[in-house]
Amino acid sequence: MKGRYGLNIFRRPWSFTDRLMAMKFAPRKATIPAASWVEELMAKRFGALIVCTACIRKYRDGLTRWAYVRHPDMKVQGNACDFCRGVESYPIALWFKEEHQYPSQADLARRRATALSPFPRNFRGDQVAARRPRQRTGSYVPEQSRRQILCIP
Amino acid sequence: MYPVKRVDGATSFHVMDFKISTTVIQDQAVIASTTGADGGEIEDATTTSLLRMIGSVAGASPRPSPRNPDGGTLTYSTVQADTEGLVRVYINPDAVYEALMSGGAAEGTVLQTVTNSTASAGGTTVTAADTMENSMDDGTCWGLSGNNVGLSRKVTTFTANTSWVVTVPFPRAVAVNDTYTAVPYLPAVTITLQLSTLLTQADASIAVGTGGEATILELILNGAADSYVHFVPRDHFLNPLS
Repeated sequence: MKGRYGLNIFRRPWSFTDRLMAMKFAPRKATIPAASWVEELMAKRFGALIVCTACIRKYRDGLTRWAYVRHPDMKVQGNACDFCRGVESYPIALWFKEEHQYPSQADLARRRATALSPFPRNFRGDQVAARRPRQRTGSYVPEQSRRQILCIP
Repeated sequence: MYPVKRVDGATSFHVMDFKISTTVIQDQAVIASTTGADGGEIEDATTTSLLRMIGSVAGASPRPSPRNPDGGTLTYSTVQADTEGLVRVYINPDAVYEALMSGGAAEGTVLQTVTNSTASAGGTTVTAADTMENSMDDGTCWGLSGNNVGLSRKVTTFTANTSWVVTVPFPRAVAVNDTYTAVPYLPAVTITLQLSTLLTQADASIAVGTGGEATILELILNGAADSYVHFVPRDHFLNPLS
């Protein structure tokens, strides 16, 4: 890709990726350097950024550095990307400031499951007790540890 | 308040940037401007009215323009050279909003809890001198401690500062010193919701039937400080049938 070369002064055939990137990111005015503008945008800590999939790849470092978090569920459709101004035909993600997150659908489901529960939210004793007989080993493995073990590929 | 989903269950929203006529804050309710004298397109809702509601504020608009290179701001200004008040708003008319239930007009007030003073073996009556001032008749009550902790019922008779009655009894007796709380919402029945002072939460201390135009869809009943109400605006600017 062109971007890998510090001095992009020698003509060379465009790769397939170059063509894709050229289609996605149309030439900008020389007075508006895209990268710095996006950095400034993120530095202002706006509430909700609309970032398309291609720009997520391109600016992931900055998004992470400025502590923006992609909401797992909330998306927009028909809105222009805040970075490249492109409009996609599919739903694209909303990125929120880390300090201003909204609940995900999983959070809501968890709230519903624990709503009106007579036990504290973190009470899982009945579930742990119910699963304990199914363990093949005699040693008791705490719920959290078992979950971590299962996560190991 | 903020949208958590749409009525059809989707979480794909439509957001738009609007010029403001009043200074706003994140997560507050905004309505379409009504007068021609102010300089913007949207303005504050009021605590008791959600007429012509547009949505809730996601934040200042990051959309720069030649006239507005720094993006927008949440602050309304009529001073030349100030940053334009431009905010990003969820505009779906079928968005389901979630609001924390506040026990008063001030944000974050804990819901009022009442301590039962007279035993009710049949599980139908909660008696307490500190029962709410405002009527919760046709609202929802639930147990916070004691025999019926974590169980909710519809309030069918309410007497301020005295007691309330439920038609479907709690499964166990309402014992002395059990604590309960009640809110003026009943899903699929209540059609009003009053907002807190900053328009970001639901004031659950008001009487049933007062407040702005909103259809209550769901209650998430936890403790007195972390219970939520889900609602759909009943008079949305983009829904001419409402």
